[in-house]
Amino acid sequence: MSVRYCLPALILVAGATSFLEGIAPAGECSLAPNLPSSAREDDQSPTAPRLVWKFPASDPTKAAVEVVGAAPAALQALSRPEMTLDRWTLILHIRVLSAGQPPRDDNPPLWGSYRVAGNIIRFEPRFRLEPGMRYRAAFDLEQLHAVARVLIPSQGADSGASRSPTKLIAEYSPPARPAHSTTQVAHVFPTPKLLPENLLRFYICFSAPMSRGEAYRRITLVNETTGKPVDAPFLELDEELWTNDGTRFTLLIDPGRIKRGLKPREEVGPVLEAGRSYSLVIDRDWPDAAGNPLKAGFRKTFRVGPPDDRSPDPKTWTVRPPQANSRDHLEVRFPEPLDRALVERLIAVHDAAGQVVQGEVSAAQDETVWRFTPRSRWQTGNYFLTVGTELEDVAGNSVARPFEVDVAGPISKTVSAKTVALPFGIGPVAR
Amino acid sequence: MPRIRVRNLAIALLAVCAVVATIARAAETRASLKKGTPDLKSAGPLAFGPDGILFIGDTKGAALFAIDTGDRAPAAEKRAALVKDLAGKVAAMLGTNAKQVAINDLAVNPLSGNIYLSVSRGRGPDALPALVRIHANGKLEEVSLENVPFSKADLPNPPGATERGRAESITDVAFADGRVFVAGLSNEEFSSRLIAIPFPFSSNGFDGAAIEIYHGAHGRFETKSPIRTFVTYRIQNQPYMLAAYQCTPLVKLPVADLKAGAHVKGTTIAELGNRNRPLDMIVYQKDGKDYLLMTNSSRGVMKIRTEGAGSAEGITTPVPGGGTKGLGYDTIASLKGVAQMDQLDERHAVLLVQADANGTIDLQTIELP
Repeated sequence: MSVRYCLPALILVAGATSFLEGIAPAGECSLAPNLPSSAREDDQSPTAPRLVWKFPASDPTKAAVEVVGAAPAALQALSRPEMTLDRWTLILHIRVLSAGQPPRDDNPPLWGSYRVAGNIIRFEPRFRLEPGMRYRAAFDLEQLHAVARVLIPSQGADSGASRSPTKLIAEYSPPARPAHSTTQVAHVFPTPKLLPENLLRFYICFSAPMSRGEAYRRITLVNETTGKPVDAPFLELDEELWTNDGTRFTLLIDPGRIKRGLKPREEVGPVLEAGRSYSLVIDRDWPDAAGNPLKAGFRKTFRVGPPDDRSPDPKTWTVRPPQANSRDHLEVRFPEPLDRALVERLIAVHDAAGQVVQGEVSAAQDETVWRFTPRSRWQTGNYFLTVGTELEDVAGNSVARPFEVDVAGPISKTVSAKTVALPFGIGPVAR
Repeated sequence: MPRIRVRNLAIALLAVCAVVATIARAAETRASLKKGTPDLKSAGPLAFGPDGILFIGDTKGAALFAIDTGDRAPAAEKRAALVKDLAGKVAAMLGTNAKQVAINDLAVNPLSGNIYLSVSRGRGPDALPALVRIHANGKLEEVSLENVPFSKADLPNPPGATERGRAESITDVAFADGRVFVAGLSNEEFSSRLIAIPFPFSSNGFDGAAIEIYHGAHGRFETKSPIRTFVTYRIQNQPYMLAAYQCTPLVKLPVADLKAGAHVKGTTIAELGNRNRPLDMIVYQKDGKDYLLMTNSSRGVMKIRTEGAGSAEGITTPVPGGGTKGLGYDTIASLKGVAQMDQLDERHAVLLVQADANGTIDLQTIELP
């Protein structure tokens, strides 16, 4: 059993006059040996229960509370099916303590489960405790006695209440996490320095998981001509658009101010105007998943060009086949930057039999180049690329249809298929 | 007299048959749920279905859960609940502070009047879901998800191994005419995704094709903007969906047209102002007339008269000068900072209200305006 010290813990037993900082050696740290002397005398009586916090040495947030040494008659009562959650809570509960404030009895107690194992009453919180927060466990022997009397009237009088302090209280605080700013903005896409007036979205990629709930307060779009922030430029969604690992945030520009004919754009104007420069500014105080601010703020400055209203057309792409019998990358060049996430997801390579060729995909050169490196060597033969028609450019025009369709104008080209195919061949190696 | 007795008997028999049919339907619905512990990865939008069954949208797990709350005892009186600093109290129960708690949605069980909250404990990717029930006396308790009757419908196109970055957020859920409608938004491709899932969920899955909804702006430019919030509403005895979009067109869509893979064009029946996000809405009746109560990010709470929603042909020309158009509305000046709401009974609604600039959230009950 390894020896650990639970440094942050505090404990108070009713009748004692002061808190005592607990430094207790144990594998699962028990605070009982650190009781004030007067309380220790009580605890040494065979029927005096002790209230202790326990946690595995490897994880101080996975703490539980135990009452050791309650009278057998009381334990018998606690094992009865009539023990409701309300009864349990009267006897034993944990409450969160707010920093610098007295305990609030109107705060509901922690969720968790109660059980009796041998001569131990154990409460396990439903969730891990929060590093740095303080918790107060309270055990009420009088309530235990009262419940025992109700549930087992013949034995209730012998539940041990009269020989012990009526209330035991023990506080605990798992060590706070060290506050280090290590997370930073790794990339912002699209990469180009010139973006269309009807740009639809940015992807902000972080080096580590971030917290949700503050995104729209932490991002500003600044008009570099006026030096002022653009008013309400983004589509703000309560459920922010993150990847499940919390490292990439999708920031949509308010489509109401992109689409023509809509009231917001006509009254307030577009978010971005051709010929001007803007900066996407990311606040350093945006907390990461551990609650620490970013290592540094971030600023991406770009110029704005005319709108792009046309769908990407795979027929205009240039495919550069690799050498047979090599693992060289297959390269596809687009005449315009495409959406970073979609270009990496929606283009696949198939052999002549239609089997997917396995390999790694990457985008380069301001998202105008797609590269595919196969796991195995290329074979001579015919191949084809499949392109999901959901693939969009940076203005949200997809291969299937432009971002907005002018139904009063000429009929726009739309593609109803889910994918389009782009054939290419790999010739024999020249000798 | 005998004729009257026969008629009374017939009425009584019909009433008994209706009750029996209702009980049989409820039994059939509940039989479709199996006991177990749902692997809920996140708890997002909520909606009550029949017989105390709660639908929970799970964005992280790309699934919709139906959970039997067992909460079917009719409340003698649905009393006005008031909980000050609700987020702080929920945080205390979850063992954390209010900053680490997000209340994602609120729904009232129409049978019992109890209020349900879907909650995230934590703000990072490892945040855990929780479900809280609030009784009329303001008491908060955990809704345990251990060993409860439930069923699950996986949403189509869940992020796969090759789609590490793709996720689909669920913006709203509603139950109507035996189907659960799920509105969603991808963090990659731009589209308004609406899926209809028949309930009880079939073990064979469902046709997961999304319904494509086009929002014709002023009759000229069509796009697929994401729906923010929606309700179902009967117009001339036909079910419709009223959907609110960013900046803030209100669009009606016939539910009968919302079939898997369908291409549906919504009719804009109101333009309720720009620089605004619709957050939540409910439909209610007062003094014999129907109203829509909509809460917004920057335009307060609107009481919208639905009279004329059936005949409205749609707004096809831009509204000049910052005005509004279509269905008329009043702004309820006494209601500020309302983030979520649901109808408690015929005369009351419960609200989640941001009480101060520090993010304190209260639960309030109001008389419907």
